[in-house]
Amino acid sequence: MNQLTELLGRLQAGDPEARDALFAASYRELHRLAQSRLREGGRDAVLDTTCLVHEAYLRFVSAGELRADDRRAFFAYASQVMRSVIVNSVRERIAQKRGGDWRPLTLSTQLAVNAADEETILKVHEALDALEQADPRLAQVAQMRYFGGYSEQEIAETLDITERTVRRDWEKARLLLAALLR
Amino acid sequence: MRPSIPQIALMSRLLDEALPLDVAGRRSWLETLSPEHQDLAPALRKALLPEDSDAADVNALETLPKFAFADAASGSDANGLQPGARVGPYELIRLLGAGGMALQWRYAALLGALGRLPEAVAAAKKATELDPLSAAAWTFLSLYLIESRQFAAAHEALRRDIEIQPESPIAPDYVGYLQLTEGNAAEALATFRRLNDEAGVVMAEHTLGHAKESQQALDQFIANGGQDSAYGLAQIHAWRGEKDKAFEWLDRAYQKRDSNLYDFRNDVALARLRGDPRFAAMLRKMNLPE
Repeated sequence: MNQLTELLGRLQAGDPEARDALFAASYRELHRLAQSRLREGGRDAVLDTTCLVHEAYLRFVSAGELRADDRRAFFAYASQVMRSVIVNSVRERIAQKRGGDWRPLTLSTQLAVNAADEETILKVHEALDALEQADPRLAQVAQMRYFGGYSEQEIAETLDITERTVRRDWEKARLLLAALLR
Repeated sequence: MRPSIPQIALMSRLLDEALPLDVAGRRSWLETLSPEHQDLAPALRKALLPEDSDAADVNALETLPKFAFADAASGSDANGLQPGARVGPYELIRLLGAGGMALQWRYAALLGALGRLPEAVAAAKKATELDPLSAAAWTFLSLYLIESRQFAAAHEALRRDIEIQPESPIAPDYVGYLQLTEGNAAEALATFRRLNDEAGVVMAEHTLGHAKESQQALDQFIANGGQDSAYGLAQIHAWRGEKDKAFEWLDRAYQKRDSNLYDFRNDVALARLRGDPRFAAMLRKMNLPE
């Protein structure tokens, strides 16, 4: 019981094994939910990443793997996992296109993302890596906004900062990411 | 050239100084940038004075690019409610019933409007399963449970609703209507009095056989602006068996495009109108199946 809660606690204490285990469990669920939503959503379905994170959280809570009190910690972490789900999917899709493999079996083959968008996603992902080294909080806000799809209010609650700070951070992060993307 | 990580960290600090300034202030600030920071001047100028450069790349970072499902055939809907289908006065703009809580919630409303009450209950239940902490999902479920006369389950749904959102403006009122519908008019009257729900008081007093008190409450309701609530007056008159007046107000609600009409087919307050040919005519007028 409360397996993820325990992992979150160990992660906050700096346990690298907990990070891997938490990532694996969250990744599996978010990947599965993303696949499911895209499959059910029909033509033009939008991958609502923040909705997926909410759903994953509720599923973990109702399964007894996470305490409701861990909402903030889970949300802070989940945008990072969501970023991996998306980036891996895009990479897989690109690899399959290059290899001529179009089997509609994986999340990536089901995503109709045009080439320019694929490129943008990967570039933003790489620029975020650089921004993380220069200013970790800005990178976290940007990750939650761009890959997690969280609102400014959700980010403020999750990181325990004001919405004004989130707006300022997001503005600055976008300017720095734009500089990195040029 | 792409800035290095130390340059990005430095830019972050410099932007803290310059971002709060207005355009004129930013221009002055850039002009007085110290020589050691001059290598960052072009990037800072682009960031601070977007009108001098192409800002599209910044705006493009607002959200993740949209993903779309490539295979339209996979989006089949067993209920035939495909995007583009017309339901009464509405046109579906996207597939319902196959997404998160809010989509289930709307799907339940649609099924209810079509008169498919058991399916509406099932869809509303699914919404509560998808998001058990959503008070709105429980409110909606309770409505369809009341209309399906599943009173015990409706009480439980409203208990969960109020537990999640104690200050809910709707759920306590629904408790009153549930009490009234299940035959506990005295309890309903107490609930409506506590909530200052005058329309509820009119109906509860009527059920208790207190014609004078019911009329006084109705007069009070109208004096307080109740005539603006065409649908509410249709409910009151229908509950009291005053069919002509009820249909008159229902028609006014229709003319005003009252949003409460979405569920008029199942509304327990309008139950006495259902066998009347005017009720079927109303359904036809709204392009809803009879």
